[in-house]
Amino acid sequence: MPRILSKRENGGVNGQRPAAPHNADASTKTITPLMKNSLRPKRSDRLAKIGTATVDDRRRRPDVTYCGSLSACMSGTLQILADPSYPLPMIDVARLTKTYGDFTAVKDFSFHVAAGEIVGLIGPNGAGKTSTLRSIAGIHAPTAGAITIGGQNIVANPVEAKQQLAFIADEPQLFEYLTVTEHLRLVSRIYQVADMEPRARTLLTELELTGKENALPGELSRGMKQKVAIACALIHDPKALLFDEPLTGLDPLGIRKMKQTIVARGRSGAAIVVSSHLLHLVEEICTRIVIIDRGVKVGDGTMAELSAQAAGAGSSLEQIFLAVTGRES
Amino acid sequence: MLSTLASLTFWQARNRIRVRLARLKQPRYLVGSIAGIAYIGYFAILRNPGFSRGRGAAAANFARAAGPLELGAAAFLLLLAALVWILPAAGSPVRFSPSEVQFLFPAPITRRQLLQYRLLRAQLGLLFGSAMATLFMRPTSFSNSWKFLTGLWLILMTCRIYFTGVSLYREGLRQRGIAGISKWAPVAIVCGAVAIVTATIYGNWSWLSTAGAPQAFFDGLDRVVSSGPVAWILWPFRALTRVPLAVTTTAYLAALPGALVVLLINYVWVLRADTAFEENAALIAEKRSEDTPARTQPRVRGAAATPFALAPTGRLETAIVWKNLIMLGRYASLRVLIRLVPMVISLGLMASFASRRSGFATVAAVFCLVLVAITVLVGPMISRNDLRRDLGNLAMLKAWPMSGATLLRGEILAPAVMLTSIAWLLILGAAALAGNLRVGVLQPLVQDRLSYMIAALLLAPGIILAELTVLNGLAVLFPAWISTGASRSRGVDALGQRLFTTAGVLVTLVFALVPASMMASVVAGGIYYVSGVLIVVIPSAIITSVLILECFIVVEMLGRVLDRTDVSAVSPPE
Repeated sequence: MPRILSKRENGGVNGQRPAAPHNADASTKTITPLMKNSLRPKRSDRLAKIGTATVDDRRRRPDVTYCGSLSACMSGTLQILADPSYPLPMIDVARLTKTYGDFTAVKDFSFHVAAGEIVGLIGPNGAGKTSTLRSIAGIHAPTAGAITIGGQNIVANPVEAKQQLAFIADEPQLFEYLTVTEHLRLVSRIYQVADMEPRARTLLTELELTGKENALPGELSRGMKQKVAIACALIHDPKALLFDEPLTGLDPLGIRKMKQTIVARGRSGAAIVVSSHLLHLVEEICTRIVIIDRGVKVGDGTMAELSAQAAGAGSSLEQIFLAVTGRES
Repeated sequence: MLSTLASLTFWQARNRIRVRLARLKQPRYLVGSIAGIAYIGYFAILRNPGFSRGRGAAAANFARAAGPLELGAAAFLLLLAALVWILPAAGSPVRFSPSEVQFLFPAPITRRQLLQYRLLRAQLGLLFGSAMATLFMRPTSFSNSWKFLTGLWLILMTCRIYFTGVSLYREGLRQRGIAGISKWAPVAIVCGAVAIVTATIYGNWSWLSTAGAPQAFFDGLDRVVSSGPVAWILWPFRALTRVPLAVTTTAYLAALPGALVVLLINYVWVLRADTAFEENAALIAEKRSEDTPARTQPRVRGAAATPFALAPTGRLETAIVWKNLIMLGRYASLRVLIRLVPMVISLGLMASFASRRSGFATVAAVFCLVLVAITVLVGPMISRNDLRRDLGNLAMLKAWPMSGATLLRGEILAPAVMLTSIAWLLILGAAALAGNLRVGVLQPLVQDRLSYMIAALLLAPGIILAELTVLNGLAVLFPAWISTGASRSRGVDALGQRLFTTAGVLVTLVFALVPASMMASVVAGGIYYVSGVLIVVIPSAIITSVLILECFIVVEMLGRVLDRTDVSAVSPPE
């Protein structure tokens, strides 16, 4: 049976504007050559484009000739909708705007993450990374735009959307009166994880928390607390994962283990967003990179694409980042 | 360096005021401030005989009461000075905020200067507290209140320095691993002092009790404690209490040097105690920074005991109840019990006096009934193991796949379960012990106490639930008014907001009870009309059922608001 996208799934619910075509031209920021090349096509174009490519090709975002007419786009769209093997983006952010009073933290920001993708979200301090992640996690209500997790709108169907999601904050948030095991037990109940015991054992071993089961957060180091927060996030095997500065406070071994954990989750099909200032980490583990500056998207693509688009800037992510954000000088 | 630290104190105070003024742009803070100022203005100034029409009479009363008050306050200070040594870590430790630890401890500042800075910073709060106490305690007249204000400030300042000294002395001993005589000598000295004073008064009690008028009694008592070793023991405390209670300016100026000497002695002692373990000060401060005060740390007893085993699947409300009941258990400790000691002693003394006439069972029954009333009416405001405490974790809670209504139900149920259990135990106790109670026109209550017991058992959870729903509803609707976690909002606007909260709870509770009571009255009236029997159990069941239904509907509505609540709108208290 063909899967028809409902209005709700398109984000046109809850008094918000329906998800408009993804078009960074709406941004008021000056368009650099790199940005022009990295702009996402309109949704209909994207669907048509993806409809003629294989899954792996889609993940790599090859240059495919866009549809020339509306009928061709519609035809391509219908092909996709009729194809059950076509994976809709697990995380879809469409024209997200988030304001705090008079201050606009994120403006017209759109990106998507497919299953198995690890997307690095990078930007200078105050660029809007945490606001974006918190909006995706349902902690902050978007001022405008739509966010869907596995096809569920985070505002209209928050419970269904959050059931598939895990958010690991930069500062580990734990209940100071619950032990490590009790945290896992509580989160398991919240996410209805029937086989909690074996999963908890595996995670405690994987994150080197064995022996700390009955410890309170006050008795743990910052890195240990971070590991507990990560164990709580992973216990329900989420399909979408949001990491905000995941390596903060971890020791070298912990950092290596964390990178392995993130990559393993990506390989097992989870859609992952990693926000970090550690560009080498992003470069190493991410399949695609989104660059945000002053709340506006200024880059989106694989390392090769970004490198090609930022011709002359250099081949490292650091050089690209500095060029794109205009901080090279 | 001290001038820099003084400037830091000034900047902090100035910026705090600036933040508070900027906050008034938000209507809720503006309304709260107006209410707070209006409350202070009306009750503390306009209705205060010391500041208005009854000024002359108030001054005369104050002059009459000054002597006994000075003596009573001195005895209280002596007891406090002893208790600080006896109670475990009751003395206020030297605490620095995390930012102070980060910026000041690595700076080229001596520990002694840091201590002076900390004492200096505390003065603003003590001065504000003294001003508020002066407004509310009705001294003499507005023009004369400066004596009371400065005298009270002097007492609070000395107490703060003394508590700091006790805590530094203890920490010093602990850090150096000293036990034995050095550890127990101060305790022995203060206990000995209290014992001497008590024994002297007790020895003269026989002729003191023959005094006809209260004034004659206090004159006699004053003579007893003004000679011999008792006079020396009480001198520092009386020197302090004499200042705010001075009736004339001459008396004030005469009392001031003595109080300043006491203050100075304490100050020198604190500085000497500081040097004893200067190197460890940073460690102590860091361990006990304001962010994580040691006394508020939870503790795990046994093998992480929990109230019940939480199954991995099932209703989500149960998980929140489980979590919040654990929180309650982890924070209950010996220290919490020690805080209840004065109340228990007072109740015990009252019981022993009352039981001479009525018998122990009757007195116990009355206490149970009083405690039931406190548990049901005041308990929900005191127990905060619900959303009010969890607002600080709202970001985490909002990321969970759980509707706002589900979360709210779980949050409300946790304290409801706890308070209902306590109330039920007390009701059962009161019913069991009330056999010999004589209450005049209410005697039928005792004779049919089984019915009234069942009625009370039914009513208690309904009222508790309604009150908790209102309190948690306020947390959802006005999150910035609620003190999250263990911290408390301060200031005039916070005072106004608390007034609003209390008034809101009472008004909403009355409104919630109206339909429930009306329905219960109709049913009870109908049964009385038919059978001629006045029943209480069925109306109570109806009232509770209606209250629970109302709570359910309100929680569903509040849940939708909570779903839409943006975490960034929940501003943390200062």
